[in-house]
Amino acid sequence: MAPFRRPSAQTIAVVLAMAESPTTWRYGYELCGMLKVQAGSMYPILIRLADRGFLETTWESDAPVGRPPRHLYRLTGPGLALATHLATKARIPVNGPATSRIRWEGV
Amino acid sequence: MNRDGRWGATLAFAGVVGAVFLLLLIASSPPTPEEHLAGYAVTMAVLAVPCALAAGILWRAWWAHAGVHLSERTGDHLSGMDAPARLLATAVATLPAERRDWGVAMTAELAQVPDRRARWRFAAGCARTAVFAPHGHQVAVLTVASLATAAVIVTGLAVGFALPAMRVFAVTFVVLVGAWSTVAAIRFRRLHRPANGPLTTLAGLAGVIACIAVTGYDLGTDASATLGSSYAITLAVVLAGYLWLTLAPPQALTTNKLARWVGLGVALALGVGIVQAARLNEINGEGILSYVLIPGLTVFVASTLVAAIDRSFSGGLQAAMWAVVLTSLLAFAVYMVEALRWYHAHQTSLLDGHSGGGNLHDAVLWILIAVPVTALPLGVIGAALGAMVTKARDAAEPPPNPVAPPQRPETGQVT
Repeated sequence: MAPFRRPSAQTIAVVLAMAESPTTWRYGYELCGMLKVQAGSMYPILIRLADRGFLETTWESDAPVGRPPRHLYRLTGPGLALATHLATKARIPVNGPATSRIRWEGV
Repeated sequence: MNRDGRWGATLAFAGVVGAVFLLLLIASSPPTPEEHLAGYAVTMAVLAVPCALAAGILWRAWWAHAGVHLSERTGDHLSGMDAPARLLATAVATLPAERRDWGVAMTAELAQVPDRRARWRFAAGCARTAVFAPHGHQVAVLTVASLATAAVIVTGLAVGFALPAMRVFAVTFVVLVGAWSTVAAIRFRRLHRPANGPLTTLAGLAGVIACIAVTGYDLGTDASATLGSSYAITLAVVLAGYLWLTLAPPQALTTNKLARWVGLGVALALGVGIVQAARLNEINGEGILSYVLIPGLTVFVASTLVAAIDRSFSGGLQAAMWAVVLTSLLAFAVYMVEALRWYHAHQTSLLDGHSGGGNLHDAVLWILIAVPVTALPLGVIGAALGAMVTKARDAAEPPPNPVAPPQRPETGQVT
């Protein structure tokens, strides 16, 4: 298991933004606009979250004719748990109990 | 970009490449005091023309390829492709297979970004993601990087002890191969079998090993043999590059089996040709320098034929690439063997018949550098010519009639 690493502020923002409406499928450009994060930062975050099972992905099935289908994302069960943990952690002191920390593999 | 703009960009790119090549030529071979300057300038300019022409052809091919690549993913038309879209398509093409979905995702998103400035920003960010795609296997990467570092240290110590003259080459080569292995570990999750076929892979590997072996043999057995630092680094860079092309070639170089076979055939024929030229040199002893022109012409013919047979520029280009890579490796090893034999018998250079050794320097300069520099541009031009001739021939032929004309009943069959 990789050593504990604190997620970046942008990663936390992405996870919390997606947790606001967990059933809604989001797409990359939309998230960039919502969070004012550049694509060069957003996509690595999405790739890492998906790699670790925090995001599920699908392709848009009802794209209008002439427009390519979008890749859509939403949080999985572990992703929601992570969001809950991050939201809770944001309210506790930084030097809180170590046991409250989640194992985080380099996101 | 409209048609005039595309031609302008092509000419600008070809001009810049041609000018850089011209400067390199002048730097490597400055005019002598007794040389006529006008004649010298014309000769140099003529030598730079194939390189500039090949650069222009490759630029046009890349532009078209990026457009096709993008249109396959988005269903959009080539005429609608802009520069950000092509930039992203090119970057996405470098993604390993397991990350291709993300490339398609980013490309699809770019299609929704309306503003030109925002498109550039979005495409640049996505291109950076595609080229430096995240990885989640740090243990493997650290292991490979540690092994590479250890290999560099061990090589430096061992070669420095056993064959000091080869130390710069060996350390540079292992550093490059180690760096390449680490980058490969970062980008790919698992090892892939080379997609260029077992025969080409084996030929390339054998060529690299043979080049290192003859270099070591020459430096180890001939006390007068030397390998200066600049030559050692050049040799290491070229051999490491060829090793990379052999073991992990870009996808664009692996799609045509005929091209690989022709490339291998050209290399074998030119290798045998060097042996033959060296043996015939016993008659006049003037050296085989003029043979350096043969690979360029052979590669030109081979790429033209493959492009015409395969009806594609890509096929001809692949044939040229494989022919140049394998020819350089095989020719270097064969030349060194023949040059050593010749030097022991005559105490002169096999290349120009003059006294003095310097076989390794001759081989690096005239085989590993001169052959690709002369042959590759001619190969690109040949591929374009072959594809163009086929296209013109196809255009001249009448299109097949999709609806067969109703057959008239033959006389005597009417009832």
